[in-house]
Amino acid sequence: MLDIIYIGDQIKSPKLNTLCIKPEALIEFEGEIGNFKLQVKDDDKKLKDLKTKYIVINIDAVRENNLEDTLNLDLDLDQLDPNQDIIIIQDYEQISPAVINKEALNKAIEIKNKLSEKEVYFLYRSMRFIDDNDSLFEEARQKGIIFLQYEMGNLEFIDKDKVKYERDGLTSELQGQILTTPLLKPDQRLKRIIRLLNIESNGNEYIQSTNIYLQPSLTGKRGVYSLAGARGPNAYSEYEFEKEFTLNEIKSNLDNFEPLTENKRVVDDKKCILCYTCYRVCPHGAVQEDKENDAMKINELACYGCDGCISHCPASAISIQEKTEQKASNNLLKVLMCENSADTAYKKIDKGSFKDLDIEKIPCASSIKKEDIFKFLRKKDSRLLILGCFEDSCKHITGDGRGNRITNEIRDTLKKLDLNHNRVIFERLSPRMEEDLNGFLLKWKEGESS
Amino acid sequence: MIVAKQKKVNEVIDMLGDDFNSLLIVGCGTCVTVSLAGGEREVNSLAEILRTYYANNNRDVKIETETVKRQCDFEYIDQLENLIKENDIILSLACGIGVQHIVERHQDKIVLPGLNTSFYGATLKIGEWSERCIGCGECVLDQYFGICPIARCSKQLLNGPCGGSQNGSCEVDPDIDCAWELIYDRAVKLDKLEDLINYEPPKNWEVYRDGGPRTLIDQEYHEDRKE
Amino acid sequence: MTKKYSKVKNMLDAGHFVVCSEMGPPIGADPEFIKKKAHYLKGYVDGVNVTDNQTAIVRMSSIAAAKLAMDEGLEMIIQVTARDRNRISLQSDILGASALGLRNILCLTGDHQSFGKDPGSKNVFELGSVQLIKAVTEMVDNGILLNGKVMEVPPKMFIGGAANPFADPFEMQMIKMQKKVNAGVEFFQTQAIYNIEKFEYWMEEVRKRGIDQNSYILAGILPTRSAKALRMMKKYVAGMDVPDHVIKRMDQAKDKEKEGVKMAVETIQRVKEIKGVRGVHLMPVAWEEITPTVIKEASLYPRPEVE
Repeated sequence: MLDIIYIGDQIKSPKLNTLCIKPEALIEFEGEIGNFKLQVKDDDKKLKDLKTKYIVINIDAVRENNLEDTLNLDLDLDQLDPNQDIIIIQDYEQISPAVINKEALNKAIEIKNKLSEKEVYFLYRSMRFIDDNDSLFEEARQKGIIFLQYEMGNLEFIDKDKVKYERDGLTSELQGQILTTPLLKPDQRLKRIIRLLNIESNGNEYIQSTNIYLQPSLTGKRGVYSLAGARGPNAYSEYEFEKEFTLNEIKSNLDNFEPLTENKRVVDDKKCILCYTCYRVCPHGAVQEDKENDAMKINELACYGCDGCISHCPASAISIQEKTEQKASNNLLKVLMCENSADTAYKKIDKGSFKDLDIEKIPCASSIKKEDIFKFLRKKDSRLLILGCFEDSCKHITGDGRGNRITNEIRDTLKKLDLNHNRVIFERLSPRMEEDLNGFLLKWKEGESS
Repeated sequence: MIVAKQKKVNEVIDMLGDDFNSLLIVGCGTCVTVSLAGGEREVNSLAEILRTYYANNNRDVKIETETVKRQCDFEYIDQLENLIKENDIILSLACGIGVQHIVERHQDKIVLPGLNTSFYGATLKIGEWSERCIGCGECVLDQYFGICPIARCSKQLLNGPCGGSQNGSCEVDPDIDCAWELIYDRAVKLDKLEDLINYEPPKNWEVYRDGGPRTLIDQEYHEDRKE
Repeated sequence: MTKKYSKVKNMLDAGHFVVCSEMGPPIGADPEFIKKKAHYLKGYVDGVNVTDNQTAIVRMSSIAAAKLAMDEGLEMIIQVTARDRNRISLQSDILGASALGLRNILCLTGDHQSFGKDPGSKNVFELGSVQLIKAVTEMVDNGILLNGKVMEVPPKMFIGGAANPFADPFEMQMIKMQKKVNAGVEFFQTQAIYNIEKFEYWMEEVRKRGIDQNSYILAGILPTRSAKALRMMKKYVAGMDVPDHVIKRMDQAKDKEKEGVKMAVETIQRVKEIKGVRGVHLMPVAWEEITPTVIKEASLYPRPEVE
């Protein structure tokens, strides 16, 4: 059993038992934190099975030429014509990440040092002052590099060594050797890794990094971390910190694998039709096919207990083991609160005014079921309030969106039934919005809908 | 698999009418469960929706639910014999085949469709399916590098794209891929462009339903039955 | 085998630069509508297409309208699309057209019915344009129907097809054009040309494949008098390529009608110089009365007399 398998580039990790594989070497993947099983094809095309407690995806972004007919920023200085001025263009297509900004500044200084007689123009759309970029910028200015800020549309390529630059109504033509900064694109192999490991990503390109629960290097899947270009171009600036965090976290939890939930989610293998809906819905990659039982299974250690799979299973095959039945209430006003946002806020407020509400804590907005909600709506004049998270701060990554969509469907159905659709309302709250929650609950209780 | 979509709930209510006291909703556990239209979850949700509707409109209707593996096999329908007999109306959440199969077993019952059967499709991603085959009775995929111009070209063209395709999109809708662009790309990839120069004569539609509703007989079992 | 039944064919065979134009039949049953249109085209064009429920909008049948116009003294080209008719109906209509004396046919697949006012209609598309061309060729040349039945009196038709220099995928479109030639097409009418450079490149490819040696190519010209129409075509008409500079030119023009005529005339003059282009096909939409003006200004009037 290995401690870490690196997919992509190896990271020095003293005292840990690690191995590094190429992204294309991964053939099959299953298991969960503490016991990931990987089938890997080695260089001799032989298959072998590996087991590891953790996985770190460390795949560099790919550099692409920004513009045809221009020189690349990482060229050898000897390739430059010493008799011509230099024009460095940063951010031509896209705003470059800080790491590229830094490279461009370094390169500009290097070039100016070498060709001190020549002008070095540095055209940019945006300067990223993180890391030591500000001191590099200062140094470059002192060396006489000319910085010109432009907006898209103000820069026109006239020839392969000539650009027209326009600002504040003034137009000037610059001539010289044009160098453009590269574009960072996701490595194509990353897509396959995302698919094989079944982890959440931004449009299948980079591994999700905007969600606050997935910082600094966590992925939606427990025990799998991502670094560098696998997280996206901006992650390079935080690389050292994220690397350290990741290794420390792994070291301190090397044999400490406890389930995150009290009750197991189980799949009824007689009902499961292997449609893979749960697999696709699970934001934590906790579901996989159980080939022995001819059904899907939910990995207990990987499961965060959001219950999205339960509400989405079209065969109603997933349930919580030993679930305590909610006692039926006759209350006409019911509030479902996500335990990671609204419920946390609710703990901080005075509940005196809300004693008459039927308040239920739910693991995630995505766990709501149409069936249960309509059962509640059968009571005339009953009203339901669902409180979920804001986008990017949903612990279950896609849960708030799914919860919102289910609610919209329910409201739509109510309209079609000629019933008041405002009987069901979805709202987003953060755990720190207790005052808003208080006011909101009062208003809703009075029957005012937002 | 067969991809279907649930009928709008107001249409279901209109279809059911007022002249009944009990309803059985029957789900189908194969294709339409996978296409998220008629599995147990949908059956239970629809039952609750209808109960809510009737309760809020002061109507007393008894609604029962059951989901079988497949409504296109009599053995599964027969498992429901009693339930079907006990209820006034049967609402089937199967494809059109399932609805008719229940009818065939229960000639005296009103059996209604809860779904609009759409097409034979593949899952593209969760909640998204796309048509890939129309069951024409004579597969031509070998000639078109695995992309069916009959199911996927809006004009079912067998000899090349129409003049309306641009940038890989069909003229009917930019969201539809031009099948011929896909065929062409595959031909280029496989270095078999010259195969597409052959003239393809008009297709024989007799083997499709233009030859009348089709029955398929596996000779082996058919002989057995004759004896 | 020389066929002496079609005036358009005879002119092309004689090496003349041919001018065709187009008319849309009415949404209604008024024969006067056709007669009026025929009147102002007479003497200016060598052949007139009649569209077949163009953009899938119900209009008078192209064969009936063509017969009415023919009776006014015009040489007609019937357009036949495979969208609405199966092989039985298509062949039957072609036999009827020939019996009425119509001698030219343009075989088309047809716009999809989703473009018209009957998106809920059932489409047929049993044959595509290539198969339709092949079917007509067999009927005309060998007197054989698709089902193999031999006719005592076969139809007589000069067989045309459409070609779109601007549709994708380019190479596949070329293959299809070649297939049309192999299937027996004798002339092509192209999609309207606004991107002349692309058309020139396309003709180069056409010549490379020898298609111009085995068929007559008539370049499509669509005179227009508004920038809005150009924008609409760019955006909504499948397979149209309208470069921005063309729209800009029309936008800036003071006299739009004059500019429209000028642009059409310029395009005619450019395509006339391209090797392999044997004529033009004018298809002004909702501006059919401009056809004589364009033809005169392009110095294509008077038309030569051919038997």
